[in-house]
Amino acid sequence: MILFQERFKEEVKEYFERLETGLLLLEQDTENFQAIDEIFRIMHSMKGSGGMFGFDLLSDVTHDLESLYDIFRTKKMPINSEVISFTLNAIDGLHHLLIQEPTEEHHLMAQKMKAETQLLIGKLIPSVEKMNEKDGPDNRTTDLKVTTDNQTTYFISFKPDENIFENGTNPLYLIDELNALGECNIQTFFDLLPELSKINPTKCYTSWEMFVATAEELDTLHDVFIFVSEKARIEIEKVATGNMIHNESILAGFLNSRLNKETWTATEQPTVEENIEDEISTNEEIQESPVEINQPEKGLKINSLPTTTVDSIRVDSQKIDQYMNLVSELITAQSRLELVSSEIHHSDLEIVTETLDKIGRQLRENAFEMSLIPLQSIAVRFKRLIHDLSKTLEKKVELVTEGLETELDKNIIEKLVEPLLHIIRNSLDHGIESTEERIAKSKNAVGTITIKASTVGSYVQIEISDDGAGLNPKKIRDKAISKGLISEQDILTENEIINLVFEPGFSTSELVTDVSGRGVGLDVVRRKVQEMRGTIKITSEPDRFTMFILKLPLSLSIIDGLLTRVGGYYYVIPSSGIKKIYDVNQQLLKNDFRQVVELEGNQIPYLNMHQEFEQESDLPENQIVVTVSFENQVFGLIVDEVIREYQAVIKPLGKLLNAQDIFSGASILGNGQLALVLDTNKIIQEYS
Amino acid sequence: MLKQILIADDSESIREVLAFSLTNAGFQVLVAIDGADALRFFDGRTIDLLLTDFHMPNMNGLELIGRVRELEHYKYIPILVLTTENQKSIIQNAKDAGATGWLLKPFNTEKLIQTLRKVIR
Repeated sequence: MILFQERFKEEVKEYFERLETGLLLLEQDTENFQAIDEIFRIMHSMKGSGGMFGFDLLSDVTHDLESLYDIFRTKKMPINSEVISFTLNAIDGLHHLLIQEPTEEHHLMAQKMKAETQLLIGKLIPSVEKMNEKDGPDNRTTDLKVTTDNQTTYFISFKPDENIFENGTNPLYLIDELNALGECNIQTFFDLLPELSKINPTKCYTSWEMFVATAEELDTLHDVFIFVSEKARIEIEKVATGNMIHNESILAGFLNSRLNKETWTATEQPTVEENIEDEISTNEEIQESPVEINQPEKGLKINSLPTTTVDSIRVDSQKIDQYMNLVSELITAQSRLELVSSEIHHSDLEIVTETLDKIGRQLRENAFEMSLIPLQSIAVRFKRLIHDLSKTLEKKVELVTEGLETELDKNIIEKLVEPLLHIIRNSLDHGIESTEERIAKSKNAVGTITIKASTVGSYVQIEISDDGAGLNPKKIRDKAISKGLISEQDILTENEIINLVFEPGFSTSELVTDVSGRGVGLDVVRRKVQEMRGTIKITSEPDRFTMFILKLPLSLSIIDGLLTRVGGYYYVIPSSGIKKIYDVNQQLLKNDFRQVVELEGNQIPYLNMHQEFEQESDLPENQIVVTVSFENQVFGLIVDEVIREYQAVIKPLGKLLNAQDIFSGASILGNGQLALVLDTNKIIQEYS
Repeated sequence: MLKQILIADDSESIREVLAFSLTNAGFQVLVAIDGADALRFFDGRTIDLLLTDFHMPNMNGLELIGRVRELEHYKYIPILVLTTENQKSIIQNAKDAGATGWLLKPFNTEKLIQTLRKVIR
């Protein structure tokens, strides 16, 4: 079972999302019975599976929630907003209960949730129907104290209805089951069997009587017939304590008293009587051979097995990571092969190498596509946030989405959730005005938040906009000055001003609200986006809109770059930031002590990587400037040599190197050497 | 030949546990994600047992049982309903529709096989 617990957890998380989707649908249409049905079903599944996989609290709480939804479902009652909000809260609670070793706190929480649910049920049904299930599915004889150590001998009469086959029962299996419980003495009766021509093979004409000596309880014997209790006449009677199966006198005595409809008193001690042999002969017709019952479906087989197609399969995300890893190893090995091949100059080897290179690239593309998931997968969280927040803030907001089928690396998607939620929170809190304000501005009373995603080259662009108050550049400027972010004298464009909101320590709202004023500012959002090698910008027009524009790479693990050499070491400059490459000689660089180089008439600040990282060896006479840009700023990176374009499979740097941030990772070259991958955005921020 | 069991359940984890346990117990397993999906399998191939969930989207267990019982080739196959509902009414409904028996969740492998042995070898 442990094997499946993780899978179950994944499944439950999916359930939660589906629940939320369903509830949001219900919010719009309280009579969406399809949604109610779905919620009921999900609660039901969680209840059942939760118990199986050891999540008892989850199972417990969902049991009551299921009952709650059962009311709406069966009574065709429209749901109300109280129940919707309650359920949304309950889902949050269930998140916490998805654990196997609950603490006292969890138990209390579960109890509270159950109590609340039952209260709601109570409100819905004045006379609370007992929703609680009883233990047994069937009539069961109350406990007969039979010690399991000692055997007891029972008599069982089993007379199936003639149509017992109709529900798929094979009575022989039940006999077999009894046989497995202890020692049996079975007799089969064919007295109802008609003559051959009148036999209907789909009917059952056989019945059985048997003695069973077993250590099992009487209940267990009844359980054998549990599926057929209505399709057969079953009598079970205690014959004697102890295994009397070989004591023919007792068995015969029992049958005799049964025949004469006398009440049999279960024998407690074996009585030795030898005088009833005559009566045994009354059962002479009894045949002992077991009956073969035809299974009607046999002989009707058709041997064509049409193939079924499966559109998608689920794969553990760890396996995908592993796969990606292996592919990256393969590409590394392939680079090495290329290197070896270029040294050997063997035409056959070259052909193989080229083919392998092509396949490697395809495989890489393929692996890469596999790890992409659509933004849609996190959309429900946006909806949920907007739903919750619009309630808290008492603002009416509508969410419009576009292009959420756009796919991104799953690692990016995961990291993207928090920043996106933060932006939406901001838009709702600071952007969208209160209903009155909107009406006063003759805007639509309902505000709109739009999320738009699209793929642009190797980037994904996500725009989150609201049609709210917009940003006030003057206010932002004043604030930035008062916070010491800029000085009075600084001349900034409006665009530069509004992007100051991303600076650490900036917060526009005078009121620190419960919603977005949590001490986490947009600076954190920007940092997170940059960590993913993405960019974030903001544009706005007062009283019309505010739009956040995020640009994110499709993948974190593979980048196109330029392989360069500085001294004896290699560096990869990501292609995405590169503008141009120039030759320079030392004369040109030495002329300027402000650390700028003039290229095509522009003064460009630069970092001579040789000076920065390779102080031991002398500067070569001729070097190369690679210009990179970030947020409209152009910067030069000076390297000794540009080797070639290079697809870098990025591996993270170890913990010890966490303190620096100008290298985003490392890549292993074909010759086994290491190349550090530069984070050009960080370098520009730090050195310019 | 191995007995073939068709599982119909909308919960992936339940499907996996069932498939795993049944395969280990020496059965051949077919898997369907809901009633409608399950019905596709009744195309003439041998199905020795249907093990179906009760609540499923796209045709619930009850309807599925009814539909299978209408099929000439599968009229008499054993059908077990997988359910947590040990309320009599639901089991009764299933039986009326033609179910052979039921398997209550939560179950362990032992119980599963034990229940199965009532209706299939």
